[in-house]
Amino acid sequence: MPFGYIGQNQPNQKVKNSGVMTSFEASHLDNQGHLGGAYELIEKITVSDGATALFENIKASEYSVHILQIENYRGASAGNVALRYYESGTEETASVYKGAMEERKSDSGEYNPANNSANYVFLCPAALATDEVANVTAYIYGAGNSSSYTSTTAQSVQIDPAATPAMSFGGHVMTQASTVDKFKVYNSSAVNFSATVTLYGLKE
Amino acid sequence: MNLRLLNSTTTTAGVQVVNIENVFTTDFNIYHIVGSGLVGNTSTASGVNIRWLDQSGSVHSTNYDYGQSNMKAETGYNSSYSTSGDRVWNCFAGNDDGGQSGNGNLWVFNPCVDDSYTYCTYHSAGTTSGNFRSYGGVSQLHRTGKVTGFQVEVNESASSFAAGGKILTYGMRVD
Repeated sequence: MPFGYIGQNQPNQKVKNSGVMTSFEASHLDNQGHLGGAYELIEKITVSDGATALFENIKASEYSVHILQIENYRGASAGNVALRYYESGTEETASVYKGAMEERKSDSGEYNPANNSANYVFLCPAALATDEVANVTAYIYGAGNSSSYTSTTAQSVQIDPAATPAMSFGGHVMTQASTVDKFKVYNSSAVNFSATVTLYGLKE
Repeated sequence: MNLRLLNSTTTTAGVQVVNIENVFTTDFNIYHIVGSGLVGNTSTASGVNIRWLDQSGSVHSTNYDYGQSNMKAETGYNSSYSTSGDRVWNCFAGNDDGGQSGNGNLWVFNPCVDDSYTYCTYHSAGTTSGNFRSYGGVSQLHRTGKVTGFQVEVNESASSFAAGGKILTYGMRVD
């Protein structure tokens, strides 16, 4: 049943979505939990020359889908923007991740990385050198669903190599059905990085 | 982000199609659809796709144009496209049993504008027969008239959904 402005049993919204709502409509939506945006902030971590952004309470039982945004990621030396999952509090470091992406560069270059046995999710395919920067948006699906693999779609814009803007998109999976309870963003070369990393849950 | 939740549907075991009817209205022009954990209920690999529904609830089974990149973990990528398709292929990638799920998100444009085609972009990730795929694509239903809903489906006749998959639909608010 779609959620309406004027009553639980109304099939559709009856007010053009101009942004003008009566106090009754606002109250009704608020009571249903549908007033406000759908991206619900879980945690924002600012990393300044640190090793990880570790999200220890991802509210996996509340959200089927998480949105991870990474701003101005700069590694201390070359490495991928990496993501790992934790199950029952233990980091999954085995080669159980798979992924594939496409990268298109402003100098006409192309790069199409694929990995069928990785030990992390590569959110940005470029092995960024010092002072190169990446920005990423990723959807993470099914982290809290013990009957499903945890999968990711990601898109990014980065400087790769220096003075060469590039975009990429693709996806990844951790190939085991399990409940994921933590996310860790880090550098695949285990060097420090700086970034602002924000995790949202998608309202459902 | 100004997305308003319009519909939340959970799959039940054994069904091949999930219809989300009367969710597109003239209140919004842009919609976001997100599917998560769409696991298969049988050991048959299948694409997990969308077909649009008209005002009477009937399925549009022709007039789909699409182009997409197919990214594969175990081999090189390729592209596929058509101007005579019968569905929005792989917009939730594909699925299989044993936790291999279809997942993805779409942005849908103008489904309920009478004189416009229905357009969408999509980005998906899923696993079938142990092989990982991610798809990025665009599609249009090249006929006018209102599209008021959609059907999430597996195209293989021996396939079906397991319980617990989630399909979420949002309208893009202008306030």
